[in-house]
Amino acid sequence: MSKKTLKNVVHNSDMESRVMQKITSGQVIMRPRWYFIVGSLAMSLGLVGASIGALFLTNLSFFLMRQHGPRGEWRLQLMLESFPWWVPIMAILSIGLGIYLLKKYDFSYKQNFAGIAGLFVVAIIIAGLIIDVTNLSQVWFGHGPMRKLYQKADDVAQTADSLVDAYGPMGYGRGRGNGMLQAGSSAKGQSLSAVDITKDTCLMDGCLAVADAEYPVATLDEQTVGFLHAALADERKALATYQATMAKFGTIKPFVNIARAEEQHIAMLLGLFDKYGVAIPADTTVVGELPETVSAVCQIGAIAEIENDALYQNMVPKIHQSDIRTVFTSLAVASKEMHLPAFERCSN
Amino acid sequence: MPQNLTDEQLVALVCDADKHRYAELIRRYEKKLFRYALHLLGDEHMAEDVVQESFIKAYTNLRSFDTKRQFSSWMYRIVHNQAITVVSSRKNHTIQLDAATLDTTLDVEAAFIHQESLDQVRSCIAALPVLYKEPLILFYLEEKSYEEISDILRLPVGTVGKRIQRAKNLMRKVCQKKL
Repeated sequence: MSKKTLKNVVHNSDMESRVMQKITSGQVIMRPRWYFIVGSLAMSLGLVGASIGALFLTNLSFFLMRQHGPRGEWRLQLMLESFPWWVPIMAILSIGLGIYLLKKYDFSYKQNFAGIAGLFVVAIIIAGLIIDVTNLSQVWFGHGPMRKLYQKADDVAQTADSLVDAYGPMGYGRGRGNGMLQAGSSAKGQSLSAVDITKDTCLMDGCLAVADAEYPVATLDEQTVGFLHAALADERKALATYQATMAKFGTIKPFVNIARAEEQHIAMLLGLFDKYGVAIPADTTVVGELPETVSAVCQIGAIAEIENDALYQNMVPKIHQSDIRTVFTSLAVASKEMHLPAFERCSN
Repeated sequence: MPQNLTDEQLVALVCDADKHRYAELIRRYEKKLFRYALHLLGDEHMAEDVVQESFIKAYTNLRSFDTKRQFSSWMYRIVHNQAITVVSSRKNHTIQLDAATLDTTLDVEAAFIHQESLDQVRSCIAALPVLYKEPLILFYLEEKSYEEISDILRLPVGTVGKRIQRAKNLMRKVCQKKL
């Protein structure tokens, strides 16, 4: 090598014959044109898919983040605890995939790629915001392929809303009676108009605003009726236990507050019984013997709240009615996020 | 006569079932590509393997080539990709240089022109990281335009200019050390 000049490297090889031998013998075959057309189509579809996915997920992130409107501090805390972080993470991954595919396009290297990528990200974010501001996300909430995703996000929001309604911003034990849970609380933390509330989503007094909500609004299947019975029995048992505790130890916290909360939970469930024309079963709750210390009762209460949350978690995915899902989800969150910590504190 | 045909016309003929015409394309580019690969890899056997593999890949994917574009840039791009794969697999141990400490008067253009310093220039180039080595080789040794280098390396033309400038600075430092 050292004797050769830079531009006149001597190269004697039979590369030509070796390559041509492979070609003529059929060892190396030229790929058909359709192979590349399919490849281009797949890449284009991938880019479009990644962009749409990123757009939806970015919008969904905004949709979820906008839950904290009025009464924001309280709701924000609940939202953060139950925020589906996979949504923004998937949005970022989709944007990353979109940028990767953009890089594969021929034009991209001719331009400042950092600029192209930046533009892509900004476009996705702005489009996501526009969709949110123009209420298109509300349309997708009711229709289209992303409906279930938006509705699931809305379940979280409604749970937060219902807890605020049920307990008020100052803490639990300040419920407003039977009107505490209204489906009229929207995903945006603002009251929905009567037009937005349907007989499928309305709850209790909220159904008064719905013109065609004639009771019973529908007939429930056997399984859902069973779920309502199970939920009512569990809430009744909890209430009876806490009342028995107060009878034994006096009107003490947290039992006094949680007992009132359980009364509200029962009222919510009875509202569903009424709405669907399900016969209310007789209260046959029997409370066993209570321990001798408040701390021990608190431990029992904590276990009961964990079981109550698990009961709802198990039932909710099998329920098709959005109002029942909303109530069950909010009751589960109340047990887990409100009652359980209170019992844990008193058991310590 | 195949000699009168452009590369792109030849490609069109090969794609239209006259695969023997591919030999002409190999003849046209074999030496140039070998030289390019050799400068990148510094090893004749590796360079030959890379070029042969590149011709085979080019043939396999010939129908994806847009005949409105330059075949030479496309071919160099394939060799570049193959060479980078080889370089990555053997972990490039080229020295990393600090341009801030550059202090030499070596005239890079002149060094390329004067035959007596070619061996020295070659050893200087060999010491450069591939990132800078490539645009320098393509510009000075393969006499490609910024536009062609942009197509081969898939870089904006402005970046090509910057890389060549930086490569020249780095080369001055390397040559200064070797002297």
